[in-house]
Amino acid sequence: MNRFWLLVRRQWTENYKVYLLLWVVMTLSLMALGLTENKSAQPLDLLLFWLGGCVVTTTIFIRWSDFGRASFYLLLPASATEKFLCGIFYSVILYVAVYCLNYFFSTYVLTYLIILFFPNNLIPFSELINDGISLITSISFRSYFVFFLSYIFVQSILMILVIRLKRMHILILAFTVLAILVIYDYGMYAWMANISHALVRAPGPVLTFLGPDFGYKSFVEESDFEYFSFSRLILILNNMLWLIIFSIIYLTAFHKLKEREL
Amino acid sequence: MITIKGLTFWYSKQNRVFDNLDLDLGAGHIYGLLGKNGAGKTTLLKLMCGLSFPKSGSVTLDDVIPGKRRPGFLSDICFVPEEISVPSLKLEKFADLYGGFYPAFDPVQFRDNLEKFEVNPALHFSRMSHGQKKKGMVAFALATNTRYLFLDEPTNSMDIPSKAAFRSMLAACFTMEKTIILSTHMVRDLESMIDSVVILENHKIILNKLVDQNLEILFNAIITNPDKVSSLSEL
Repeated sequence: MNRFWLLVRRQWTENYKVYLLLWVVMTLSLMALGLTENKSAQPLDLLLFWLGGCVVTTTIFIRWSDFGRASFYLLLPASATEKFLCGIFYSVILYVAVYCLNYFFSTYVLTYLIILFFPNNLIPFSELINDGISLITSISFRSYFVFFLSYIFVQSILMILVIRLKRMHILILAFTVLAILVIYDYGMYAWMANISHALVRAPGPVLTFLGPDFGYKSFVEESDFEYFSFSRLILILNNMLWLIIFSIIYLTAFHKLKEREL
Repeated sequence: MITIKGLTFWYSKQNRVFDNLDLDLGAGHIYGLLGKNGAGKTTLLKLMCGLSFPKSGSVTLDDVIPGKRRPGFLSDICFVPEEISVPSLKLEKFADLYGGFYPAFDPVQFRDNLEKFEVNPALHFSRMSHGQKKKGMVAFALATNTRYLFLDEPTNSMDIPSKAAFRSMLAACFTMEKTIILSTHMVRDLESMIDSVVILENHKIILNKLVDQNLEILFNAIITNPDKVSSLSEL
């Protein structure tokens, strides 16, 4: 059997209990969030998405941290690239696909199926499916892309932390992500203050891949603000900047893994 | 053939583990790597496996640099560290999952080894004692039939019957193409297993020769040398 698939099989066999438990917890959490029918719960969906990914990433890359496990795993006859790609396969490709399916399944099917038991909330099955599909199609591709990239951002940093550190990965991850966001936000503020003298506030959102959100507010009159969007070129440059950052983090993680010494 | 030339290694610059070390270990031998605690036995094994990289000098196994960790090279070596960390699996599942990575892995030999160690392959690692885990890993390592086998303190936490079983297994799996290195600070455990001895002391090799006499007698002979008395007294 191909070495890569041996690695994939090994990863699943050793961790399937954790993954199944994670799936159950996430399904229940998404159902609970779905039942609230509160649009403000969306950041919680994102947080759940990140946390689930952190768990999966940890189960994979923790093997590089302690001597006992790392000595065995580093010497397992497969290339560093295969081991790294196996990690990416689980923590990015498979996880994101499963999360998306689970999101739809638990939020729009299970939730409505539960509601069906209550006579006052009887909804035809076709309606709930259509409802789910229309919601999925109403969200722009760009939004999914932002959602995905925000995950890549967190996951890639965690990957390096798990490879290098033995404990407190999540806590250090939280501080690192926060520090990067603050630095970026401050940098953007300084940059925009430079190009707009009447600046009120920097754009705020950090992963600003969405056009309308990427701009600045400016005084028109005393307490009247006007929102200016950046040109498409600036938006593309910003996106490229983040893609470069992600690529660097990924390459760094791969390099750390390849050059890991015990 | 393991060739070490001018090897210098340290964890911190002030405390060098090896300084310009030279060593040649040929195939067809079972080497005993002896030395006190902290002499650098485990570090030397790690350098030979590619788990650590030399600061200067070189380590090669058949002209291959271990630190590159190429799959072809890795499928030809097996290392069992002193402190083992095992996955949450049954032993038989473990062999099924990991054996596939080693082209010469023999599942029948693995089961035989476990039988000799009196370890049930259906047992889960989490329900094993430290000694049983070690026996499971050693049984697996011997069944991989790799050309290079590195065992760090293999008999630690093994009971007396298991040590005897280990000796017979080692003799059974040994061929002239293989190089087996056993590190220990307990000389008596290795006495009847090894045919060559490498002694590490003060980060240098003070002895590298074939054992053609009782190992204890050999040590006594070295101990009569006043320069070595302090260094070998703990062995």
